[in-house]
Amino acid sequence: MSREEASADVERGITPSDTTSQRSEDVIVQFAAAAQPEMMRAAEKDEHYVGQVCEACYDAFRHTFGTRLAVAYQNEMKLAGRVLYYLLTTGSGLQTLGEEYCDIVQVAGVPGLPATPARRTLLVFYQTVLPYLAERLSSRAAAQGMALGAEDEPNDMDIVSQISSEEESADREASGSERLASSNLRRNALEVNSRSRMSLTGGLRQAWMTALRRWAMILPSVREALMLFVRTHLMLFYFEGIYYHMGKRAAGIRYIFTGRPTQQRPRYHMLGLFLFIQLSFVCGDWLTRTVFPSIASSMRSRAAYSSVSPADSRGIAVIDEDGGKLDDKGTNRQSSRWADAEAPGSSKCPLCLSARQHPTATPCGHVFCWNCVAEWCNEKPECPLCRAPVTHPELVCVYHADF
Amino acid sequence: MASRARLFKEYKEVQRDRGQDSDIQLLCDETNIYRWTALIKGPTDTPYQEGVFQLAINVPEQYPLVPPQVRFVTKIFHPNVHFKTGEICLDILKTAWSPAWTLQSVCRAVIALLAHPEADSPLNCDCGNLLRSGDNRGYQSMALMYTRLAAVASVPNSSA
Repeated sequence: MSREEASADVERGITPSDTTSQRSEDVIVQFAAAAQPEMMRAAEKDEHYVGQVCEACYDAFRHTFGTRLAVAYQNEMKLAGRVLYYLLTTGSGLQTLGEEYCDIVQVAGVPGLPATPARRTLLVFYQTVLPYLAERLSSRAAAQGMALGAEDEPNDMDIVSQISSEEESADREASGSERLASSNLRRNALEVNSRSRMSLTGGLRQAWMTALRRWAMILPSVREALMLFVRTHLMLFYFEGIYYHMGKRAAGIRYIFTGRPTQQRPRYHMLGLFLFIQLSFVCGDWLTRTVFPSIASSMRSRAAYSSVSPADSRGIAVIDEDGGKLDDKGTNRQSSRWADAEAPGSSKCPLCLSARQHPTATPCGHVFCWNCVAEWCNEKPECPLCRAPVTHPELVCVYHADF
Repeated sequence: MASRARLFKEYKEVQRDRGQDSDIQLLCDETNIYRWTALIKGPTDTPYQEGVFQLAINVPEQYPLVPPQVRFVTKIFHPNVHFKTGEICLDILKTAWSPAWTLQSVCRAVIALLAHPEADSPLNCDCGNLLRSGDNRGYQSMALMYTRLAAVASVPNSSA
């Protein structure tokens, strides 16, 4: 969809919002607050259109500057598309396409007046630039911390790669912008914290380095906390049904429903309840894992901490559970790994007589290399060991199995 | 190339298990890993029990997807072995081949074939007819004679 089309669509949406503002004195009481279904549907629609605008921006950039640059500035193009969409809609005081589709209008505060330009700009900023900035800063800080860690101790690489993978997974999880926005809000705050700490210590480079490294270390737990925070926010939305996006909560912009109320709209209290149960479980788990043992056996776990090399910070959970047992577990794991290396016979493919590459199981349960058994199935569709009929689609690659 | 890798594996296995299985002795051609020689002992309680038979194994490039070609070098009087060429009629060497078989297990299958002649699909018609007509004694004495003539005498020759 082109930008002209989008804005034209938006202009058509002017009428209801204008009438609302004109007759706001007498009609305002009649408009009910928008319910969760409309808000979520509007958000989804918006995401869809934002995606289209982003794509258009990316294409335009690619045609102008070439694919190489376009790939390099992919994230910036996304930002540009997002900013463009929200500036043209929310920023200029119009409904977004999703809001128009769902007959909801943004209002600010309790009086139900249209949002002021400043508030709208703030919202656009929250929804677009802030997540991008926070993500950039955070990832750069993490990367620098990683470089530092790599210089210091090679074992840190493990942690950092774990971090980056979690970062990716978190990004993938955070489908809606509001999640990123919220998570990045927090992260940004932390960033600022660490920065101010640096300035307090006189801007010493050393302090900045430690801050960076610590950032890389605590990033996973920060992300976890943010995910919890996002979920709490979603739970609140399910219960009260006011703010779906964190940016809107921060800007204090809510929705009213201007369409004709047709039937009883579904309520999402049940979902909120489930989320609440999940969150309370998570919190309880976290409490028993960290707070309780730290009270019960703080001395013991501290002793375990000192005995374990600091690089092995991934084992923290294990230490917390029962600090004394970590050594046993560690050696066990290692010895089992050695045993695996010692006894290759158990994982041999009976066709090539070598270690199995891409273990593949037949329906009858025999395991071979993928190449071996697939080639044989070209010759004859039967299991080499038991002659049970096997077809190509029935072959299943088996990974992460200890046999 | 897969065949070469697998044959090397089998070669190593044979070297490792040397002496464990006294019935079968697998020897690889020094210069060509696709050519093997096997010496098998005739199974006990059969007319072949005193003999040691030499097999020539020719492994095709596509092995183990296709079976190896095995034939008797030593003359043998058996319904499923061609008397002149030494060709063997054994299903696992033809249609019922499976890549899970190894040269070692093929040799074992040949030994089993010596113990259990299948007169209904004869390559040696004279021998098959003897068995099918119920002349077990005739078959036994003929097989014993040829074993003594060829297999027992051929041992010093082949091992030398």
